[in-house]
Amino acid sequence: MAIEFTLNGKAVSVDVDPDTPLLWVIRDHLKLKGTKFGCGVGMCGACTVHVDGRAQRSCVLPVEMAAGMSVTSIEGLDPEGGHPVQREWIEKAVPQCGYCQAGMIMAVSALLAENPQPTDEDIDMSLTNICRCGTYPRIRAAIHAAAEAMTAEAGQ
Amino acid sequence: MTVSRRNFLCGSAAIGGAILFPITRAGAVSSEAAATQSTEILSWIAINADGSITFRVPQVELGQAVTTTIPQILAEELDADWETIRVEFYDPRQNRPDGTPYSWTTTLGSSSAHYLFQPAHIAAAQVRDMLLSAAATRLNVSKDQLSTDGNAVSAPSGETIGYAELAPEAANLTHPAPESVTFRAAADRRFVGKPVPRLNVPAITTGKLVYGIDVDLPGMRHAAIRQCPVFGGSLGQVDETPLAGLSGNPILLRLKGGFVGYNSPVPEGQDPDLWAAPVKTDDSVVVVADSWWQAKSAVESLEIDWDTTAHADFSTEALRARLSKLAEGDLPVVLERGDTATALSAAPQRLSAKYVFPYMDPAPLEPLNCTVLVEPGRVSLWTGSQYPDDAHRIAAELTGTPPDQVTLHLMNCGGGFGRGLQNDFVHQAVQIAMTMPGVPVKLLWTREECIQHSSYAPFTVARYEGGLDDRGQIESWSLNIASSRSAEQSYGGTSFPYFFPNMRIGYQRDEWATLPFGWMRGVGMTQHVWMNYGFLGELAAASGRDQLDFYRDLLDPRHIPEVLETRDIAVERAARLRAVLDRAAEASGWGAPKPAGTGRGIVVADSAYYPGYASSTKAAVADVTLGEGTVRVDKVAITINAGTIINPDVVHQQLEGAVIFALNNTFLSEITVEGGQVQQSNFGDYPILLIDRIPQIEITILQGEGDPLGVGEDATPITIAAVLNAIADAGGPRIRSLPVKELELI
Repeated sequence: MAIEFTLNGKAVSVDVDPDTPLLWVIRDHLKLKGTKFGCGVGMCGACTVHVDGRAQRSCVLPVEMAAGMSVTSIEGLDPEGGHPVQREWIEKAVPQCGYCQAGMIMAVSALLAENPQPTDEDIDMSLTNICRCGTYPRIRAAIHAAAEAMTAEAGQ
Repeated sequence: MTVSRRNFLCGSAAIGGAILFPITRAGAVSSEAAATQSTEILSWIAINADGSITFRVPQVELGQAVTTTIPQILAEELDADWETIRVEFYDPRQNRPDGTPYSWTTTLGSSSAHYLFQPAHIAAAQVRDMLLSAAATRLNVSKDQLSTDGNAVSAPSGETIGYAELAPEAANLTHPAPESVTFRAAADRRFVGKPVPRLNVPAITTGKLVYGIDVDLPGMRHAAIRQCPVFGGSLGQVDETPLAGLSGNPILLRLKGGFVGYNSPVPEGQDPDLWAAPVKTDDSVVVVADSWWQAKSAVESLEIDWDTTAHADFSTEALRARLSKLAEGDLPVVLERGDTATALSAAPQRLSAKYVFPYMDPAPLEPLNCTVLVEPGRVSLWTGSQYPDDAHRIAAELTGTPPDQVTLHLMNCGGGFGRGLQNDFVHQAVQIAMTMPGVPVKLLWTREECIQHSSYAPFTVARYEGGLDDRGQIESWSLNIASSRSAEQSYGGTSFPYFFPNMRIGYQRDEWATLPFGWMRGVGMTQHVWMNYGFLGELAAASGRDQLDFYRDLLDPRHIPEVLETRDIAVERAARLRAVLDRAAEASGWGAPKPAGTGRGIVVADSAYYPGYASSTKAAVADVTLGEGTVRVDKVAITINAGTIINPDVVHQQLEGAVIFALNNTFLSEITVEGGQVQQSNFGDYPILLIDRIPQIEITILQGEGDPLGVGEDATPITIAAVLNAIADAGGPRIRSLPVKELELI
């Protein structure tokens, strides 16, 4: 049975087992490879996407749960890399291997949409993605810089 | 882009009496080809017809930034326009059968910058020299009147000729001797030593960087695997009937386990045991299906009988007891000075302690994967192996294909930390693809398979005994190291830079445990530096002396025996260590009063696996605060002298990452075994630190010179040691077994 949802602003329809995780539908059926597989149990966050604007771990979200919803993957956040979070990720030279970073950026952009000026405590409480390379100090600095940039842009 | 590949003839030249740099000689290029194709002048560099330049990076990119730092070296001496450069990975066929044009292609031992700097720097200068020679001939002027800029050669007349135009002529010239070419003066460098932004970061932030897991080929099928849960067990019966009703056209394969190769290069004629450890696979069951989710669901639905009886008695608890007993006995001696037994029995004050390091999994975030296509007479594979030349060998040997018909597409890799040096997953993927010629197949392990079938840092028990004289000086130092199966890592004991009048170090590896050994960030230093410093800290405390004074005094050359064959090296080393220690102490304000409940630890080390090994020197200062059963790491400061720095921001990144890797080792990482089976399975029971428990990290890079020295691993062993000494300094327990269980990290 076909399952329909919106991916990065485009209507998509996939004919897969309804319990297939959204991650594998995005990667293997819809061929967008930016969203990564790290643990398969919703712990590491490499697979984070936005579903109706909220960060979700797509490796444990059956695609049928996304039916009719609007899904955004890293490719849809800003294809040119111009989202303030992406810009600050470049500015602060955050990534090392880079494998977790798409998920990080999606988690952080969702966090900032909800909480435009997160404190360090807010970041500690809400950002639960794993970075095995240990880029956390730069992630924190980039979040604060992106928050400032977004606030400045919103005020203009 | 197509790069013409020609036959490579190999020559070599000694540089500075130290490094052998085999270079390649390019053949002739036809003029038709030159009009549209790239011209490869040395295997490092191709000049493209459109004026851009392609640099080939002969190692995998794991986050250590080789795809930026190696191009920095090449661009420097080629005088390349950074905006025009393209980067691709090397082709392992260039390293066979005629030699090794790149000198070193394995990502191991923090060696990328160290081993590749000279070859890259020389190759690029040779290419520039050849371009200048070609221009000199054309313009009929002498070479020394010409200059280069913007991928072009300019004459005093103002005439300029682009590199692309000159390249076909340059490629036909004889390679100039490395001694005859001009290098850019260090003071005039434009790229080396600069914080050049990493080239792949924009692609990472938009999800466009392609990793091994992202390979997608027309008609590709997907494989999921279940390996025998007990290492060394064997496959019994598998009932295939559940597959019949499943989607994705699943098919079942049985793979027989066996020897794969070694986990690092073994120089010809050398004993593999001194350089590497064997890599083996276990019997496994594979399902291949249309999608990976289908393959994984199918393989997990199977009832499989494994015969695990031979190894079911193996547990880490039993191993701990076994190694402890070994360490208390007489082990083969790897270092002896003086008469340790007599000195110990006569010592006015004598201490002993046992230190334990558990199995750990390097656990890179990208699960292991490899894509293979077997076709008549040729094989293609795509993987992010840390040891690509051996992945290439495995594919050629298993399929019986001539090596020049095996194409390995090296891929970006989501972390390595040593795990990717073991090509077990490549061996499996090739075997799977051999059953379906003409069909590309991607093998991807689950996280559970990755954790339960990793290659582990070895379980290690060390028993120390030390004797102090009446003045609190260490008279005797005895260390017995008993570890699970491992590559030779006795340097963990013998490379400790301090000399005591009586020393005895014993070392033995026990083959009983079935878990395979693997390289992990920091290698033997990660197991041993914290133990050595822990026991040294115990002796310092017993003598009532400050850590820093204690180490400073021990680094005085008067402690180095006059009879030592490598005394000059040891004296120089001690001076280097002391200089970095002093700078670290100064930077951290060592000696300032500390609030109650806080503690500081300071250590200094290098990675001199043997006397004279070129290693960076670095110190760590850790600050901790103890609470009720808790510890907070407030700050870790690293001071490093790593020779010439190619990219200071990359050095910062590597050190920051290595500190955090160390905190995982210190507080969280532990693989345990019961009934022959690894007990952990995912990040729930093999946790990795999140952002909420990361200390302030401060990096100081000291002015260095000479070849670049390793930085990727080096902050890991010293951070563990400094944090544990800080806990003791704060009045907390002396930690003798990792990970720390006495205190909770907050």
